[in-house]
Amino acid sequence: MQWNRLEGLSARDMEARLVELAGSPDADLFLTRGNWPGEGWNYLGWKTEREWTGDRVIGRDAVKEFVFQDPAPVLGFLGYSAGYQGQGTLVVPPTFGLPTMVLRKYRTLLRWREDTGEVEGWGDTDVRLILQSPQGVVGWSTIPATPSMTDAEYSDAVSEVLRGIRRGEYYQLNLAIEFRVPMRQEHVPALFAGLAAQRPAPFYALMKVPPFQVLSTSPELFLRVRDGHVLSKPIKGTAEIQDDADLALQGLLNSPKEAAELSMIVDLVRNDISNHCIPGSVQVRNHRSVFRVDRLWQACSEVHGRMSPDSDVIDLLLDAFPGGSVTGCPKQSAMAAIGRFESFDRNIYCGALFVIHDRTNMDSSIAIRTGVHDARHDEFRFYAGSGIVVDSDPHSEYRETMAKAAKFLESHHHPHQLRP
Amino acid sequence: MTLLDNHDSFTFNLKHLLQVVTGQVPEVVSYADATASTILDSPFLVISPGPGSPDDYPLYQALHQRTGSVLGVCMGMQVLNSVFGGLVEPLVGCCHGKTDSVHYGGKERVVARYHSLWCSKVAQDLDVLAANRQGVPMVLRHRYRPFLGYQFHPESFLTEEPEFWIRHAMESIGGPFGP
Repeated sequence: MQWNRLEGLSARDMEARLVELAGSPDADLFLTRGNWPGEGWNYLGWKTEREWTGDRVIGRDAVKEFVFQDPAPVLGFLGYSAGYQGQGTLVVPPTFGLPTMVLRKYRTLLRWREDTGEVEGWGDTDVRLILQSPQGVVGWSTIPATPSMTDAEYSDAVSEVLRGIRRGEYYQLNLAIEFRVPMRQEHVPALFAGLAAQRPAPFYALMKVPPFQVLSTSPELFLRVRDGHVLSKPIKGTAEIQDDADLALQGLLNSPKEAAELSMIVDLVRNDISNHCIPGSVQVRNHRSVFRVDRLWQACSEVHGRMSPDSDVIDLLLDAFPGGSVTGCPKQSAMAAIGRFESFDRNIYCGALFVIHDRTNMDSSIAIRTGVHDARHDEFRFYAGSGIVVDSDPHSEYRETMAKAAKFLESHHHPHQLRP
Repeated sequence: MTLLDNHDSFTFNLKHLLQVVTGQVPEVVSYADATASTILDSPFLVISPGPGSPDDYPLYQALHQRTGSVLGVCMGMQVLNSVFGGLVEPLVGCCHGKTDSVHYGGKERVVARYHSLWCSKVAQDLDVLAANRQGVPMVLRHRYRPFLGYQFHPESFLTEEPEFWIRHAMESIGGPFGP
């Protein structure tokens, strides 16, 4: 089995049908958008043929057995709480029912890229059925979101975090807020397609795990492995663009605080991939690169490595998990403290979404700017957070968090602007 | 060579650096699994960085009985200081993920610092081989035993010439892989 070029179907056709495709209960999507350097293929999984789900404790051998049983690529996700297992003895908080890990092989997998216009298929490539399943979906409710912490509660929490930093418990801790909004389940695909069309980001994903739908609009590459060459691109350092984009950019580049915030996570990510990389092969490149997503400047770095011949992408995924940029460091003590500061289950937030091709090829994103819809309560929960370091100011961290949440908050208040 | 991991998140960076410089594969032992014999038996012991203060790691009292080489990094250096009677206290402002310059071996060297605490009073049997401009001890060495400590992180990507510091440790405190 292999990828086959599908003639008579263009990437443009796929993009034009995104809202219908997203609306189908049989479709999962993982988009790596072509307008970002080095990223390109967008994946559509159609009708799950085989599925593996795991909750809380993830068995490595079982995962490998499922993923590598045949050459068919896998779409899936791994929830943040799987990281507790990797970090040892920490208590796993109760979840609201979304499985910790989902892996799927499909009857049909399509992929397309916008730069070349190519469309390829894997499996049953009779795509007429897929393209003839329109789902009318428009608009969503406009009731304001309920945050897990008020501005004042958030400030108190940051002050507590800073005390932990001064005691030496951790250098950086990522603190997040959960937002809940009423939303009907049929509106989720419209939100996905609308944002994907109008708010480009390196990674988009929509996974349907009834009664849940995971919607991710992530700017962050967690792990990409190409024939054993490993790349992670941690993001740390954010500047909100208000009026003057250049001013915001200079502010980001000239801030020792933002520089330190990224540097410590770069060292952490080096560590996290080193376990499965050849000694001496792990290198940092393009440190403190900057890119723009939505109204934010984001600073990032590249950590490269050569995967050890004895390791595979599942080893790397499970052992580097969760991404250092969403925990803080040292990772174990930061994660233990996050569990004390946050009143909610992060579930998919700060986890990873991925497409796995084989033992040495994988693309994965970090599930930030991400939410999950729960059809049992007609509710969409999404999350935003920021890294707290010793010189963090509670008010600016709160503004940063709200600026990241704006992607969903604003789309929610202004649904008309997002209709695809 | 044993690398004792104090629940740190930079342990594999240090392991790879040690491996690349010495050609030996360090055995990584988690503090949670360590016993006094872990601390006493290995011919070359590296005490990793880690969260919290030396008081959180009582097992290192066994260092009193140790005669073989020890390299302590960051909290590992603070452990040496604390075990031999020095004081480790909060550092005003902390210093995390930032570079500093240390004059050592005849030149200024850029190193990465990650610490909330510092060796505010150095143990009587430890010599300060280098301090930064504010007087924060950066390199400590035991007068009578082959024990060396670095307050900074030689394994950080922010440290220039990371190999220098490992080679120097091998030369300074010997061990089976030194010259």
